[in-house]
Amino acid sequence: MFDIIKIIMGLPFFSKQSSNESNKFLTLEINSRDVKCVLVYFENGKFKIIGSGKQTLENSSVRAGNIIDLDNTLDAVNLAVTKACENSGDGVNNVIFGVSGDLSLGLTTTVRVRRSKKDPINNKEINELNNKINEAAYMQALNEYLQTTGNSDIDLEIITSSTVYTKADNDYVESLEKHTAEYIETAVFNAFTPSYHIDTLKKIAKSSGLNILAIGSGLYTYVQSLKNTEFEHTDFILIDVSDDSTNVAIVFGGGIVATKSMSIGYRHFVETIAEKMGLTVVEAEKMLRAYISNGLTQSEMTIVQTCIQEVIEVWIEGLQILFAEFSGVKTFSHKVYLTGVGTDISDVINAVSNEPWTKSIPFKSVPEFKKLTFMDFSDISDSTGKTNSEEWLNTVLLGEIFKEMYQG
Amino acid sequence: MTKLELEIHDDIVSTINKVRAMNDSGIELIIPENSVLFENIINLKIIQNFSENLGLNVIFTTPDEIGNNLISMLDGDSNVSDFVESPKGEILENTVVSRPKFKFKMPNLKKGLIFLVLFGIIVAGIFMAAQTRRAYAKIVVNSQALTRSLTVKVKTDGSTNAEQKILLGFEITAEAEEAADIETTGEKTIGEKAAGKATIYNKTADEKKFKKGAVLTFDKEDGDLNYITQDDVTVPASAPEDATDPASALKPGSAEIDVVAENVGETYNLSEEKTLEVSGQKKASFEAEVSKEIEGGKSEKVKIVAQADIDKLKEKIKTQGTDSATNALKRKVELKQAFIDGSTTLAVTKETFSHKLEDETDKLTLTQTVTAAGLIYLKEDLSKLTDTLVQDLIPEGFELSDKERDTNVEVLGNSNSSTLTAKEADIQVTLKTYIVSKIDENSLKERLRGKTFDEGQKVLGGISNVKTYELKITPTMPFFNKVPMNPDKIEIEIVRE
Repeated sequence: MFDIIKIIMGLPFFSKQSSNESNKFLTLEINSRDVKCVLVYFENGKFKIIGSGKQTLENSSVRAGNIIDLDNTLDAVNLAVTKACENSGDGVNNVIFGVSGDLSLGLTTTVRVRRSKKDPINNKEINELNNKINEAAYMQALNEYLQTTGNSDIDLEIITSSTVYTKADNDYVESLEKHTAEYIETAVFNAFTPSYHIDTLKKIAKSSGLNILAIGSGLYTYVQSLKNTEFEHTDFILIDVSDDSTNVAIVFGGGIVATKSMSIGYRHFVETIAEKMGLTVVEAEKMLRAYISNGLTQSEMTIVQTCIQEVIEVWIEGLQILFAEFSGVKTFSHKVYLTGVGTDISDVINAVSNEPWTKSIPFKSVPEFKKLTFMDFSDISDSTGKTNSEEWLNTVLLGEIFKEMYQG
Repeated sequence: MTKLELEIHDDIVSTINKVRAMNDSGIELIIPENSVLFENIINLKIIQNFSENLGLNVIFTTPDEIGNNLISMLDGDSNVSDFVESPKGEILENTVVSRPKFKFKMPNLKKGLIFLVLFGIIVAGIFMAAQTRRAYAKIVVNSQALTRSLTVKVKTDGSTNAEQKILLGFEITAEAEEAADIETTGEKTIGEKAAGKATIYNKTADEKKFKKGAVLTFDKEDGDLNYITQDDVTVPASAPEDATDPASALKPGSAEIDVVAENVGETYNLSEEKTLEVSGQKKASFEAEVSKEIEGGKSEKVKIVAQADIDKLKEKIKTQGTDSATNALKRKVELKQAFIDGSTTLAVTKETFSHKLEDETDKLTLTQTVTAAGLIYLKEDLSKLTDTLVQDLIPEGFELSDKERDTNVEVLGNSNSSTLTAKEADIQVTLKTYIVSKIDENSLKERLRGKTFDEGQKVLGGISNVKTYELKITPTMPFFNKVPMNPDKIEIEIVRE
């Protein structure tokens, strides 16, 4: 099994980059609350964070991953990048953009072909097979997008493409090249995002003087990074309770089978507190953070907890529906990893672990939930002392793309 | 079925909250074009499932093309042409005054008088009706819910200050006097000491003087009994029985003395000839004997005040006193004031016992005065303060509703970040109200008076931020369908949407 990233910005598909590039690069994530940027130094297969910057976005600048107010977002990107690079002597402008789960559609496409000839498989045949897979994947993605958004008039682009496995006459092989099999089979994971979003990211990069190394799916990088941890499972579920949304990736055999998303995330907890307590969003988030760290009075704790429970009730209902949407999955792995800023709220972890919602989902056995922390990823170290919290994980793990590009 | 019109930015959580707040079992959810709900079909599925769980029947309506595609898919129907268009508007039911047609016929002379009388009655009737004419305008105004939660410090010194979120408070005090009694548990023995006479015998060769208070002891199996001599006494030395014969047997010298028992009680009563030891002297040298029966000793046990009784009584009255003082304090709070729970401090200012420690009594009474102090504020002051603090949140042309207003006050208590005393307290004030369109009733009456029905409608329709309105003029009369000139006859009802 091997993984290859397709880099949108003119980098050739299925080819690895020369390793004499600078080992410093930026990863950048834009969500509805803020822009986060980290400066990463990559050496000997390990990532070292040497700079970080976070800039809060004005309300409604970004929604569901879509950049609504370009000027405001651009300002925030510039400030976050400047902060991340402020202690770095030499200018770093290579950047990897992350696309959150609510704006990227992930699916695995499997193609099985019976060959009429007995010659060894060559590159040309492999490329033809890849083209077939891409065409099938694109149609699959358009259909999926239509089913989710009701919109059929959309251009999608592949941002991440990774071969999950290749088989020659039912045997797993590293590469099909030179095999003389009658049946060949390839499964490829593709993450799609609307073309307009790619164009917007390009505009931002151009205006900020950044050079895009890659645009990658956040969920994909997360799953790839998990492979390098001590967790040895190849079948699992990743639930990312991010700022705007909750994104779920179903992983079998180490590869993402499908991803789905719903529009409830951390922001909804903050906004409900703001609404119920008559606070501004900034004040409400402070209130929520104080709740998380047990720093409120009893009366305040009760009020905030009530607000959280209201959202959780809707969130759990949504989670049930979301799982039911994975129509191609007969049984789900019982290993469930939780991540994202929303999981900072212990009530969310408790609800997902204890609510009877799982009874209606065909898990293989009683599901086991584990919240992922920065410490679970031993390949990453933080020398800034600022990014070693779960809030930064999505941004930090985008470095995995760099690793696959230059190390394979 | 109730129509629930959503805003473009109402997301899944806010929509569910709005659905939850509905009282009807059927809801028509009107979703505007480009609503964020159409970002993902799961939003609609959640609303559908959630409503079903609540026993509600929800119908989605939208003018949005993509939204209708999603709604069709939700129903398992891909025919997008079936969408229901949202209503374009609503026709209000107005009072319509029809104008009857009059047909005049010239009266003949015979009927002239009758005609004049009838005409007079009709004119008088019209005049009377005109006098009783009233106008009623109902205006349904746009409103927005406003909830604001603020921490406010109530302080007895200084004054109300909106910038610093300080509310002037007042310390009030009340006294309560409570009395309680208790059966005493201490005991003391009282009674008469036995008295009589004893003769002291001196067996030595020397005269012996005993001072008053010398102790004579009767050796009793269950404890010695002591008797005290009442005077100085000199007991002569022993001497030969026959003074002329020095070799004759020696006869002890003797002297009689009054004695009184050391303690009260019958046990000290002794009959004559009982032998007593002289304290501090050898029996071989001195001895005594009851020479006159020691009698009159008696005793009884009586109740006295013990320290435990005092302590117990204090404890008993403690709750009584503090409760009474606290209640007295709360009774002092007037309707326009609000008491801050937990701010009460209590002190015992006076304490009087009916008896002292060890006094002989069966009952001990304690009268205690407890003074309670607490913190109050004026409800009107709080209302004004919260109004000031939320002013920035009120858009132009709107004002706070004075009808639907719910102010919740939570006392934050004593902690690292909050205080609670009779002089200062931190409270969490949550104001829940509505912002409604600002309408000056008096000015509106001025603008309406004397207007025809149609003109009145225009006046009402010209008010900004009004959702609907209704104008009625009663009684309905031809030619007199004008709003009365007298503003007192114009009733205006402003209703929140």
